[in-house]
Amino acid sequence: MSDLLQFLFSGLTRGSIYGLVGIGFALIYRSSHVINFAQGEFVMIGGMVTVFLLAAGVPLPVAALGAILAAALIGVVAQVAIISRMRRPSTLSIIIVTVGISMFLRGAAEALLGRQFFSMKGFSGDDALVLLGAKVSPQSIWIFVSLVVTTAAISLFFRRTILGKGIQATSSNRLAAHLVGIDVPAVLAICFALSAALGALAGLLTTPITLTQYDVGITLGMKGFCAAILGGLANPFGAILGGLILGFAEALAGGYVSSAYQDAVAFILIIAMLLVRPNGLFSAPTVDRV
Amino acid sequence: MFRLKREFISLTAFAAFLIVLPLLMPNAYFLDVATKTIINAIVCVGLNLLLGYAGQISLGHAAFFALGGYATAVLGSRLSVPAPLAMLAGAVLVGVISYVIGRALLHLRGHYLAMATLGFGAIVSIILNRELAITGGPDGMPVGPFQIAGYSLPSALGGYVLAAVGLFIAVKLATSLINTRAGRALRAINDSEIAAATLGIEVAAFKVKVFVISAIFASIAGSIFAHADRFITPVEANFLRSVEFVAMVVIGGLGSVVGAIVGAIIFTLLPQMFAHFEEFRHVLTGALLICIMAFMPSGVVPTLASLWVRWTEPAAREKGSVHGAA
Amino acid sequence: MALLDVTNVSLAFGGVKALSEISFAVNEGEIFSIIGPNGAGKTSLFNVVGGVYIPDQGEVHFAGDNLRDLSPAKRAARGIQRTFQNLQTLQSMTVLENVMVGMHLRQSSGFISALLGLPRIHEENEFAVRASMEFLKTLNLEHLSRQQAGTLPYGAQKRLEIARALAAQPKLLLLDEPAAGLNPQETIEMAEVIRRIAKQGTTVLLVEHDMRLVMDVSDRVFVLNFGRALACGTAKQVSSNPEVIEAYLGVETPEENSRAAVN
Ligand SMILES: Nc1ncnc2c1ncn2[C@@H]1O[C@H](COP(=O)(O)OP(=O)(O)OP(=O)(O)O)[C@@H](O)[C@H]1O
Ligand SMILES: [Mg+2]
Repeated sequence: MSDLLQFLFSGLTRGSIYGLVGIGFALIYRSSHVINFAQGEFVMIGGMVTVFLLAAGVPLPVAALGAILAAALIGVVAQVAIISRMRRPSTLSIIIVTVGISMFLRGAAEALLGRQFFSMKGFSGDDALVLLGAKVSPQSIWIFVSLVVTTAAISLFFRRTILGKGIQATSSNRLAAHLVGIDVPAVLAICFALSAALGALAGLLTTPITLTQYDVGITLGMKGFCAAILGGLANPFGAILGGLILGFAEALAGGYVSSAYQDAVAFILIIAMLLVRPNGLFSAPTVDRV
Repeated sequence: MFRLKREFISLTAFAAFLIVLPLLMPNAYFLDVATKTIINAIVCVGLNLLLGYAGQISLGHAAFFALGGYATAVLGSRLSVPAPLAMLAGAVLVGVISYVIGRALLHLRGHYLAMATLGFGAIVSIILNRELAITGGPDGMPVGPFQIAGYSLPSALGGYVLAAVGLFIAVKLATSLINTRAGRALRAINDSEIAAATLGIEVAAFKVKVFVISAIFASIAGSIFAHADRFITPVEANFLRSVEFVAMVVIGGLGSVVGAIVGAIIFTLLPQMFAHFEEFRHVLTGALLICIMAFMPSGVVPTLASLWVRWTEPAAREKGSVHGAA
Repeated sequence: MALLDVTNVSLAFGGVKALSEISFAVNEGEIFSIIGPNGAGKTSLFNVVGGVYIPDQGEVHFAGDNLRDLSPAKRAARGIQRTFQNLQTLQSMTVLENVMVGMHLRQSSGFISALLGLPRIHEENEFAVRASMEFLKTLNLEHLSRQQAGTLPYGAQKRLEIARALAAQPKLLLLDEPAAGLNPQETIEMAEVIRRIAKQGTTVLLVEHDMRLVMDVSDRVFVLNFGRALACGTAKQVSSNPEVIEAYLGVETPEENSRAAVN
């Protein structure tokens, strides 16, 4: 029983991180039909920048904010300076460009910071709490609360603000959005900023638990991508559920089945889902017009 | 008839080039780089059939490459199956696996194949890392030379010859396909699936077939790599390797056999050139990818080819535009 | 027996009823036109016959067989071809290659013989080129055969789609607004082409907004409005039907002017 609870807590922590990264994929996919393979690098940037600001004596909240803003800025630059300027972009050329951006960012981190691991103290210390007989690190609670707050904030943002509605409109029909006066390029740039910020948030939240290194973005990016696919890629809230499902599945599989194959769970799940429900667990199928 | 003759001449020239190339290499290091380039080119020529002709994205071809390599390593070197047979067994295995994946997923559209192949590749990579008893785990395993009836070429040259023969055959096969009923059907699928289906093309079946063919090219290339490098590790199945293969094809220029080869050359040689700035290698490669896609979105070969046409045949261009307006 | 038999077909997209209980039969050799205002459901009906959309209700029979479980490609193999309102030419291929793809069903070589470059491939290709050039001539496109299809003007691409469909030698040809974007002279030529196709034994199902063309070539006309059948009969009968005049012919002129822009 307490084993199970332990696994569930661990699943919740993982799942929340995957969800946060996954929303970023979904947001960008929805607004511009781009699968942004650089998304994982923002996770790395979030963790790294926070670590270095903390080391420079900056207080944690400011360091975290700084990391998120830095990632958002890089996201906007990538979108405005590179992606939006591509002429006649095909799915493939965009994939290659985002992979290029990802290599560039990862390579820059490698060149500047080397390959060693960097660590960070938990936001509320590293002493585990005991909850219903299972150990929970306070950082896990931070992570879960952040996911809840972020989800609520995003849903309010989409429903209540003009900008949020603009993003919704742009994702369902770019041309129509343009015609009713929405500044589509700005909306796309903001989506990239938002995704990068969410990735960075996930990165700085998880660093006290998992440490960070120049290439953590590869794995976390892939897991977030799986979360987004499970949720239906175009649905940001689906990505959160997808992330949680993935987190629980990994934790349970790692605990009860095989810890060696824990990392394979995400990929087995997406393949299984593509076979059964190709549009994601929470999205309706679409019909093409001819 | 004219076209046939031209094809024959280019293939002969290409064969001559492959034969002369090792003589021009100043040392073993360069010969090794040439071999690696050629092996990548084999994968790219096959992958281009899928990406460039049928327009389907695979992010898992490194897994097929690695499976070919490990089939050669495990069967050939550990179980002493003759090398050609081991290579063949790998190709058959990969053919079956890719057929099953393709059958299940290729009737879906959009990014599904990309996602599924990404997932498949990751699973293969994890298995290769974890099954220590069979694969040697993350440390990989040694591979013997390519022997036929106990005879093999000296080590470095042997790898090159095998790779060159492989690439020549790959190029011959791929160029034969282009102007045929099947080749046209693939290109039609890429341009408009709905039109292709309306014209009677069994879209899903064609996609599956070309997926299998391109996977087998990768598998053979993987076997050759294992022999040439005399070693194989799970890094070969890495997601980033899959992305590299796709990047090579796109950089060279989709839908062109020459483009696939040029892409492989650019992508394999440039990191070698950056080798002096070891720690900046990845930044530079990333920047290069971005620049090529930004300035030559259709790839190096098609872009240069159209520039060439513009410079050398202004008259032809004008004639073309008159036709267009008529 | 009718060649095409549509019985009681209904199709909805969410709340939009694109087709409501549509029934009609087309006889062999006939030129059968479907008209109706924008959004009436004409293209949806083509998509149902071609197998792109599966109707919520009702059946389509072709030459006596129920088409229900047949994919678009299988329907093509039975002898149904179509053109598209929103062009679906194969943009990156040449005009000639487009028509050669149209011959897909009439040839049989596969991947193995293609990869190996067997001699039959060359014979097949030579035949396909010769036959395709004939179809290009029929549609006045032979001088453009080496151009990339995507670079052709709109009207030429429309004709290219017809040539491509004809290359499959269909029993039934569905033409979705073949005269859209054509000038009056070209429209007259298009009428001629359609008549010639019918005369050579291909049954034609025509969707068209140009009333002169429709009245000129059609054996029978079927009128749709908001997904419902409004009338069916000869051109004369239909054009004197008061309901039709109200629903459709009355708004013909302004609409026709906006067609090119819409497409
Ligand atoms: N794939 C689809 N998804 C949602 N709605 C659709 C789809 N296809 C058609 N519709 C709707 O069905 C109705 C009929 O459309 P259809 O294209 O068949 O009309 P049409 O008669 O061909 O019009 P037009 O003369 O403009 O070509 C319209 O209301 C259209 O918006
Ligand atoms: Mg229509």
